Amino acid sequence: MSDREIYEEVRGPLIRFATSLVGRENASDLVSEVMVATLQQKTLVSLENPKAYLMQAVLNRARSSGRRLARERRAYERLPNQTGGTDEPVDLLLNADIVAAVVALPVQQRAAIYLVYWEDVDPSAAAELLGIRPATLRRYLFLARNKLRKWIDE
Amino acid sequence: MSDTDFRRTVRVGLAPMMEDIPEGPEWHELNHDGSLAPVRSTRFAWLAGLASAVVVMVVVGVAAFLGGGEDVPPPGTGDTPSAEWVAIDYPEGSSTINDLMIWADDRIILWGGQTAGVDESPTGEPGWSYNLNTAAWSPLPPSPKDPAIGTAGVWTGKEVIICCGTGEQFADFATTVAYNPETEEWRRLADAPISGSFSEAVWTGDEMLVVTIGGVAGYDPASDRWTTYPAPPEAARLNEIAWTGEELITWSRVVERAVHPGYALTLSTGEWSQLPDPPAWPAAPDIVWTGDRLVVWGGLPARSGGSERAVGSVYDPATNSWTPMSEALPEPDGCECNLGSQSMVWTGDRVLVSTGALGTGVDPLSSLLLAYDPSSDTWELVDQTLLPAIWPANVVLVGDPIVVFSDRVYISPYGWIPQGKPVTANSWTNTTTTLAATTTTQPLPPYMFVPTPQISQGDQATLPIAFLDGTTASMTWPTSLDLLSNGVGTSGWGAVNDLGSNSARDIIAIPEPREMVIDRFGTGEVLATYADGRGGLVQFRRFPVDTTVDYLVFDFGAWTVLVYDYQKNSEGRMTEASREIWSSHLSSSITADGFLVLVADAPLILAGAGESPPVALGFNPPGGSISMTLTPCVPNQTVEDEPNSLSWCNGSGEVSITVHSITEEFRNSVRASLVVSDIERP
Repeated sequence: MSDREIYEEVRGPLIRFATSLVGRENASDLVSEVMVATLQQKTLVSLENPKAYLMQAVLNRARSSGRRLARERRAYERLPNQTGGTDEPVDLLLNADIVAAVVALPVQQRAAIYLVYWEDVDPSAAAELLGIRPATLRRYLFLARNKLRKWIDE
Repeated sequence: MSDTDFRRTVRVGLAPMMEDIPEGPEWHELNHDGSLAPVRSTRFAWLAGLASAVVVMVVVGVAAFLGGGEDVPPPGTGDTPSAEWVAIDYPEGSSTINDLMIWADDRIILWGGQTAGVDESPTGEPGWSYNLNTAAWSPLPPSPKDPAIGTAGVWTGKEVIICCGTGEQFADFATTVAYNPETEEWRRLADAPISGSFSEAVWTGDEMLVVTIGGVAGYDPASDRWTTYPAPPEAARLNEIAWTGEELITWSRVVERAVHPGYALTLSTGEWSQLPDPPAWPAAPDIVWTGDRLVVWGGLPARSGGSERAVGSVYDPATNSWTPMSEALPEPDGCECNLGSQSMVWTGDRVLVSTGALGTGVDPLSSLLLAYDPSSDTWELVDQTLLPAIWPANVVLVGDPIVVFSDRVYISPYGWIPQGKPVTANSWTNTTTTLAATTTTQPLPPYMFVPTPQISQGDQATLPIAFLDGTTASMTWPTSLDLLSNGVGTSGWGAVNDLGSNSARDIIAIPEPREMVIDRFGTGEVLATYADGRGGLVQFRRFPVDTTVDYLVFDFGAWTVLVYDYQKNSEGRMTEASREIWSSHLSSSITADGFLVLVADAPLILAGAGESPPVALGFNPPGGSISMTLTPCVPNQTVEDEPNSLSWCNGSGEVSITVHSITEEFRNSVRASLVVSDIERP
């Protein structure tokens, strides 16, 4: 498998993952930055688990993107209360608050909930993708759950 | 909120972002010299310079120990471990029974206990510290807590927290204290709300959970508050405990007192659940959590009421079922052994067991070290060494080397654990977290910052740097070293002074908005706020990560700047007036390269007359950390005086540079290619 083939395979998941972290507007740039930085140092075929490596790199770089996150958050805070494309039932009146609350989560917690609850990745596998211990991932999920509960209750 | 509700909430919250996601960047052939990049927009080009905060994981203990001491020969090093264990006598006059033994990074902390266990009164000098760097014991300063036996304690990464236990006349149980090995200071904490003896403690990362026969409580250092949890539904003495990341597991060491031996407390709900009974109940077992399973193993000699048979089981929460462990134990040469557990720890891939010797053929007061692999249900004898055993106080602490407490303190050869590195233990951590930042500053004397940073990209990168006394220089390195991708920081270390007293004004800039930094550091508390001169407020905060320091927290948009106020010396605290001056006169801008520029429009005092000013510039690239100081030195001389560190002098003999990294390749690369030149004094 070549670098190109590996990239084509992981590009979609990477973009979706990056989107969950920094928003649609910036996800492509973030993935680009990670790819450039990675390919300056090594080839993708040399990586034992390219997807996990790149996802961790995306997460690390996203953690420095506070300005972009803030902009994204402001944008979502202006969202009207609508379901936003999900086919699952939800209290319509809460929707904008939920979006704002999710966007406001720290990036590591957002990474955890994205993988487990959006991509339905098994928590152990999600921890491996993020390069963290399962207990750490569970902690992120727990903290996210607590924060969302607080926001929704308010 | 149920898990289904949570899942639905998360999906609703993410849905607007995840709609119609663009395809993302396409593949372009890249040169691997870094000169070409794939298609990208230009609006984030500043990110090349505006780099991220980095979390540096520092493995402690091992390397420091290798420095050795004068009195105790160091264990073997590197890939050629010594075959010899090192035995260290307890300090004369210390308590060696029922005391608390905690490994705190590079120190062993002993506290409380008795010199002889004839009654329940504490005796002997209560507190000792063994420094692995100096290989020497030293007494701890007097503690606010009276000497006690059977105390519970944890190492938080910063402090040893000790509570509970039994003192004279059973007094002083509730007193809780914290000892900081760095400052060698104690402080009194909120009293524990539970009573009862036989206390055990575990550190969850945020909270010290304490279990006694009287109940369960958790202490949160961030808030200095205790939370009382429901007591186990069944009274059981002498519990062993384990922390799974979500649940506290208690296991009765005295089987006949327990209808069921195992329970789990879910902290988030405060609800207890009973674990199913294992197929075999070992007497006097220990338990250990492996990350996804619970191992229970042990046994007692027949003369002590046991079965002369060590048994154990592995519990899998996913299936809510037990699997018996192999009883095919390894035996040392020349004996038929029947071994019972005294303590167990999880090394990351195996359970390391310090045993008691139950059978014939070995000294009944000897201990063996065995390893159990849960994935293959097999045992191995890790070392033929027989260590004297004291039941039941024999404790194994995992690190590299490992430490066994018995009649003496035994330290294994370095590299002794044959596979993998230990990663978890109940009451200590081998990592610490350091935040670094991206900034470059250049002062105008005195104590003002006006930087003009520029980087020349290409094969070589050059960064103008400025020390805080106004000396300027150029730092050049191969672009491939990627020294700036994670940040450049300035920090002043040493005796920095505020208004003539002893304090420090370290400055850390973090490329994250203030709310993210606060979230990262833990909320803590706002002690005061000050006008920043731009219509905003500077917060004066105390974060739970280190309550010995308070911080002025400046909100510079995408950046947060922390100015340290070391409160550990009360004489050196920032005054109200100095905080107001810092708040109103420190401002910032961001260059086109993405560097933060700190500007002071009035003198800000960093060091008092006669005190050492902050002279170090720190960098935190992905592979390690680099610092440099204006120190006269022998040109180009290299010194390896600290583990994982390499120091050298620049070519003009004016700047001392140190690279710290656990990777030798990185240290050597930086040493070989980083050049500091063009030094101009103010």
